Amino acid sequence: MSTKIIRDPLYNYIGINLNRDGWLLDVLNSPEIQRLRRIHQLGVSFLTYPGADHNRLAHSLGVLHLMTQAMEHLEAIYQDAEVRRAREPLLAAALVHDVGHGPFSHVFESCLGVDHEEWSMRIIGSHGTTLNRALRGCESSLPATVAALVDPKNRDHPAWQKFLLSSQLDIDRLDYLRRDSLFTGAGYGHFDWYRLLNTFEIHDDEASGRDIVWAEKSVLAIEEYIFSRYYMYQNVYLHKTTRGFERMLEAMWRRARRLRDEGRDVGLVPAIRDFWDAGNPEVRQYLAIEEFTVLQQIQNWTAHDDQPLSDLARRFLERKRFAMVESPIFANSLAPDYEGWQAALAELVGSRVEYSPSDMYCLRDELKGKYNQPYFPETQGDQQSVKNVIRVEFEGEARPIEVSKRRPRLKPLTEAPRDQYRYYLPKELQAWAKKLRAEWT
Amino acid sequence: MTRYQLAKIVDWAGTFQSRKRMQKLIFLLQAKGCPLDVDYDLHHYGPYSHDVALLTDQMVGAKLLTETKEALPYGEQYSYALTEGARRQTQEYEAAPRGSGPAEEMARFQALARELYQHDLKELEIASTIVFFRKQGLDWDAAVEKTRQFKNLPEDASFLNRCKALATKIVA
Repeated sequence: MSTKIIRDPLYNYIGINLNRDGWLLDVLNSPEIQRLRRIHQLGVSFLTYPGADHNRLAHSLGVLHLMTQAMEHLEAIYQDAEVRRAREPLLAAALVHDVGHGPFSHVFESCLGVDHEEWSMRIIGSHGTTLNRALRGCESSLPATVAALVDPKNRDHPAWQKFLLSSQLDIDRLDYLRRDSLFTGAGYGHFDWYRLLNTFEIHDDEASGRDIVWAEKSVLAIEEYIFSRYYMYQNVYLHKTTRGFERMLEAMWRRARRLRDEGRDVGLVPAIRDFWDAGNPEVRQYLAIEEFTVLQQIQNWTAHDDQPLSDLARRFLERKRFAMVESPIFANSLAPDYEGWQAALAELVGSRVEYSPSDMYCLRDELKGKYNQPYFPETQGDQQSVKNVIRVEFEGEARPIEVSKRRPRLKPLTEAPRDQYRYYLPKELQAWAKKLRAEWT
Repeated sequence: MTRYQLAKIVDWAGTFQSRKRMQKLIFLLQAKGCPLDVDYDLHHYGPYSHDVALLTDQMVGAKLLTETKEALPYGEQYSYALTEGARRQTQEYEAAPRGSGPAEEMARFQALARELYQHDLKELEIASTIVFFRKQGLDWDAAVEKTRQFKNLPEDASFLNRCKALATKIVA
């Protein structure tokens, strides 16, 4: 048997069986997938954690590696045609699921006004891409099948396959939690991934179809996984420094866009100018925007004659961060006056002539509870899709049970976290802002 | 969707029974133009919003809503009502200058919300699924047929027609 070996810091060896899965090399070697080498997996987290320089390609290979193991696990249990047929689409989807990410991953989506999942589907489906040709080389319908798997709104594809790729305990998360932990050095994000990967089954339900469930012996590993997510959210994904630089990047691009809309020359580099000029950008125009393009653009702006734009560009490149102030605790929790509070902060910032306009120096960060919840269980009354929750086959039960119903330790993590608002402003104003906050609380 | 908006919708019902009903009613209000800004996906039981589910739970956690769980033959049913504190805060907000605009905006949908609340839950589910497909660009017949197939419904013309009639009241 011939195997392509790729070294990886998480798994040591990632092997691609060339006899069976050799077509994946064409997918891997396509320029669209290779571009992922140049996209930071964790956006601008490297400004907080210097080691967080790992890229989307390494993560995609990790997902492919785990999906290969997951499919081998299923093929050993089930000898049915649906599982066999699912292998190629799932391996392809594992490798290409992030192909639509732009510079700095999620953070730059708002700067360009794009959605990476939509671009993933366009890139996969576009006949002009090498990736599309590579997928068609394996099976002519593969691009459409993979796009359906990647599409979060698609409900036509078998739910158990969608679960493996995107759910609250999917193969994507099994890789990135541990990979992000390793590269940030944060020390969290460890769990018994091997057990999770080797103890799930396909459950046939007459009413709701086929679904992924875990054996009872895995509940501790599931608990550990959910706690890992919680710690990674608190320590890495929602880190106040990272979030501050994300908002700074957005403010800078918002400023450039506004100036450009007003007819000012903002010295756009060709790739970004082409993308913004195109009403409906083509795939090649999107793919031409790389992190080095964006960094070059920011570097150019450091010399721009618009003071706020050049100031924020310098602050970003020199890592001169804004300071963070939490929102006050409002007496009226039903209708908190965030607008009034932000206006008061903006007035404080606007009192300093060098921080004008104040909306460039008083940045709001909205931490929606839904992005801060490590696990959202099914509430029976919601009758939401049961496909997305983690279910376990407990002994003596006729049907699988949602895991938190039997594990009280998980209860605190399943409660709805409140929405939080943070405000970023120049450091020398932080003490004044804190005083103001005390008056508002 | 704001806490105030959800509080109003709950309060119009007095005690709002069933999270599923809440999901569908809010979906239909939004489709009619109520500015709730909620994301919906299609789930097995029709349009479903994680935002609505989470906001409800957040407001229970903040002691703005009371939650009552009732065991029924087919499962559990959750009911919600405003707490006294939430009622007082609602009144304070509506009396304040910043609250008058949102109050007027929501008041325009009060009659529709009350009417929808009286509908059979299954009709709300099917009508909202039809609206969901209609908003995806299907014409009425295609939206109804896709809903029928999606929900595996028998070709009961009278039931589907009732649901379609409700859906057409919401969107053109």
